[in-house]
Amino acid sequence: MPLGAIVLRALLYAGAVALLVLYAPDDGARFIYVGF
Amino acid sequence: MRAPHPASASLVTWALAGCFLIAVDLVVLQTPLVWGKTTLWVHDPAERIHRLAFWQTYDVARTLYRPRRAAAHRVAVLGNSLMWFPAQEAYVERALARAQPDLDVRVDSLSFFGAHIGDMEIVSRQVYRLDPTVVVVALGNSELVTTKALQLVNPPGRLLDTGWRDGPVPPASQSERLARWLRTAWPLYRFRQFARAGLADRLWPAAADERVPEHFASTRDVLSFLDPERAAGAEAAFETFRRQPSLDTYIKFLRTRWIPPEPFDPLPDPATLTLDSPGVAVLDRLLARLAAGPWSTFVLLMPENPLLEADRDGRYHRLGFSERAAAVIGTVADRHGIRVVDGRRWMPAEAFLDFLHLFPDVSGFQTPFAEEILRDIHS
Repeated sequence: MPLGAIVLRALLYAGAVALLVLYAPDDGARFIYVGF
Repeated sequence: MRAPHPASASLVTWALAGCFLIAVDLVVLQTPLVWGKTTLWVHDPAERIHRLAFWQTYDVARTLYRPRRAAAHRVAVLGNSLMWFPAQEAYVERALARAQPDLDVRVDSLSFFGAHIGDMEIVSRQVYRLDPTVVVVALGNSELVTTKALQLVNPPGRLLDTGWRDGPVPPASQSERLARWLRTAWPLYRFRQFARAGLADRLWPAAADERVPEHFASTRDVLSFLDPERAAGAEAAFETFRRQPSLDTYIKFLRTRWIPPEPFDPLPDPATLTLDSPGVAVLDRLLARLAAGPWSTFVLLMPENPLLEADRDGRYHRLGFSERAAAVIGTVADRHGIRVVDGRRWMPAEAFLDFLHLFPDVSGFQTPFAEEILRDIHS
């Protein structure tokens, strides 16, 4: 199996997982009112 | 349809992808790429409402998980907005240096706006990372109860929530528990909101964001920093208050700053706070953990604005709540042999920015605070 294909796909998978984790939606909870 | 490339299903590919993910984790954890933001004060007062507590929590995460400078004595401070501004690390370190010039000490601020007792308990789980010699828990009188706006654990605290076992405030759902497990196991997940915001700030920095000054020379400086447009009027009103100190002139000063004097988030009836209250159980867990650590701990009851004594109708504060909270905190601290420093009468009214918060640096709060820290350092 060509090494390039493996590395390219591994990068793609890792990148996709990292982006999914970083940019998955949050619960959208708002931070508190700041009275200063 | 084209058949997938054999590399797609190869174990070698997935193992390599795992290695790349570890590399991403290391970048998030170990490099300034994500953790380099130092302009943590949000200049625009309208935006400040939504962004400031987030950046403060980011700062707490950075303090806990990134390397700190070495020092012979290390003081960790848990608190909320009451402590965050007047106990900026630079102010307290300067006060400690004034009191004892040869002391090699570092202050680690772990405070953020809106932190209630559950948030502090969450932060305390990681305090060992700082190898502190002294830990301070700074409490006003509202942290032990749930109010309309604030729970025992709040959004900033949840960002830092880790651990395999449930804390004293159980998660609201199974998904919240799962998120905590993921944060515990996987740094990329633990810091994902901070990493996202840190990267976004690198790419599109908010030009107006500022550093919190390491020194303020006057109340005018503080008021200008908080709101440049209203600073002149606010300083004039504050000067009037200084010449004619009264509840009325102070309220006029607050109104000049567009701060409603009535409490934004009223406290409940003091009778609802008992030794059986859920918030008190969290305090108990927090103090038990701190008492078991290889450091000394004290609880500081934060200064209260003495003008509130003139508020006999309870229009601007909940009558009797402070005494109730102090008694409960004292009882719980006694159980664990932890010293309680009652700082409620430490500061005069002109040291306060509003009914709750002290002026940073110019209030002088850091001086008695440093004395109490030194008492623990030398004990």
